[in-house]
Amino acid sequence: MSPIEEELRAAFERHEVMVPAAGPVRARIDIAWLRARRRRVFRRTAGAAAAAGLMAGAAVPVIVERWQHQAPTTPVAADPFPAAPVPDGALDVLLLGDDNRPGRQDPKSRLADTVMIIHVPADRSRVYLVSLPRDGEVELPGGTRARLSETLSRGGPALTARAVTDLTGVDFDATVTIGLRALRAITAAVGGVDMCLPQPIRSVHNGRKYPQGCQHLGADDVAPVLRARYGLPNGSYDRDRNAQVFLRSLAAKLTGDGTIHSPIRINELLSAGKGDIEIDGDAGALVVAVAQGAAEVVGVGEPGFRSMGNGRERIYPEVGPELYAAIRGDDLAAWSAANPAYVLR
Amino acid sequence: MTYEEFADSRLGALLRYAVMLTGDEHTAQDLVQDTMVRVQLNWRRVARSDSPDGYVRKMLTNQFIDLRRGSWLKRVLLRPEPGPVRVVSSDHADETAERDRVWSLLARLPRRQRAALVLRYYEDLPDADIAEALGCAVGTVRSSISRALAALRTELVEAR
Repeated sequence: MSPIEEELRAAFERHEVMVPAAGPVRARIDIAWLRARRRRVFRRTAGAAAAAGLMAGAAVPVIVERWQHQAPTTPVAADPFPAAPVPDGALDVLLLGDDNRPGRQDPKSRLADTVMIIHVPADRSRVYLVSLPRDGEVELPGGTRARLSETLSRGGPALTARAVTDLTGVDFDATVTIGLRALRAITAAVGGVDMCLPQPIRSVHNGRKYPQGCQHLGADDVAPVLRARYGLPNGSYDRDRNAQVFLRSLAAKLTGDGTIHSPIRINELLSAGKGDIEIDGDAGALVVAVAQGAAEVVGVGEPGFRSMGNGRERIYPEVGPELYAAIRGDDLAAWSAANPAYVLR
Repeated sequence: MTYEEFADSRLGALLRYAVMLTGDEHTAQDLVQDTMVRVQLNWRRVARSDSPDGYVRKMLTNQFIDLRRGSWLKRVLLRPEPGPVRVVSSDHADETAERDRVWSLLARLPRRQRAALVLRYYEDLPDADIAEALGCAVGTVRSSISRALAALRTELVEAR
């Protein structure tokens, strides 16, 4: 046997110490198996219509998998055990809009211009977007207080997520950080979106005027519209609303043309935004759940300024505790019915 | 044979195999867990096969080779694969690093090649069984093993 073969054998043997004990793994397998079986029973007994709807979502990861492995395509509904489990229960994702711009000097100076909690209820009836003001003051681990937007440069998406979790008590299944470049590329890839602006925008970034009302926005319009804040009566609050409207328009576009159920198209879109999208957590679950609820997107935001007088804002000073409890308890439907002033329809 | 009996007798060996494949205890656990759930879902087919052992090894190997399951988005689109990080701070660490160089080089091989090496040099399987596990011809097994060994040899010589 050659020396390299001997070294290989020795290396494998040496690493046998890394092998975990079988007992705990066995227990984990049993739990995973129970879960898989429950899903199977549910699928088999659910009504045909519900099953069809569910399959549409479940199909995405399965098709992607098959497509990636170049395995023969079989009808997905024939496979009662999709490899990627369909997440059940409510899903919470933190969405951060990174203000990164090409050509900026210091990448560490990035700010979270948009901070949004995406909540998909367990019944997948809709998608809620709960905006948090970027100048809102949060407490960081250790007790210092900072603007929410600064947390991104201080400790990356993880710190922002931590601060929002500390504030709201919501644990996130994933954190998604997306930059304007990615949104531009995605908009280009879907051929633009039709967006209804709640108020006119005169962009200081490209000098264009965007009238109030519905219009078609191309890739070049995305950044000016989403960044616009000067001249809007409620500044960054109005901007957060625009971001919600934009995401709603994008979701409408993606559901409307079937993209959201086409793994190949989703792959193309995300590849278009590559390098400017960062995901921590289970991205597959996110896509599936959002796809299921995307038919109705509901925005939640503070209607106007809540200044503390030092350039910082208070985050939901009046409704915060109930709002956060509603997110945690998956009861946003009732909450938004009771607080229409905060809801963007 | 029931699934329970199979798991009792074979889980340890599968975990060892998965650690050698992935080089990481946590990924190995996930890999074995996913595979075993599939094994249970398809237990009748597994039990009916000529060699349940070989059948499951093949499932696990396939799953390892396409380890994008579950996190395809992340893997395919969003992040570069994290490279092996090695911090060498003292003579002692230096020595360990040197000794484990083969191990860390393994991580850079294509997954099929790594699997072939593990099957031959850890599981000590004959080439025919390796071919079965990898779903390819015996000749392909031999050529990919020799290519993998050649790659390791070159890298080791360069490093020394």
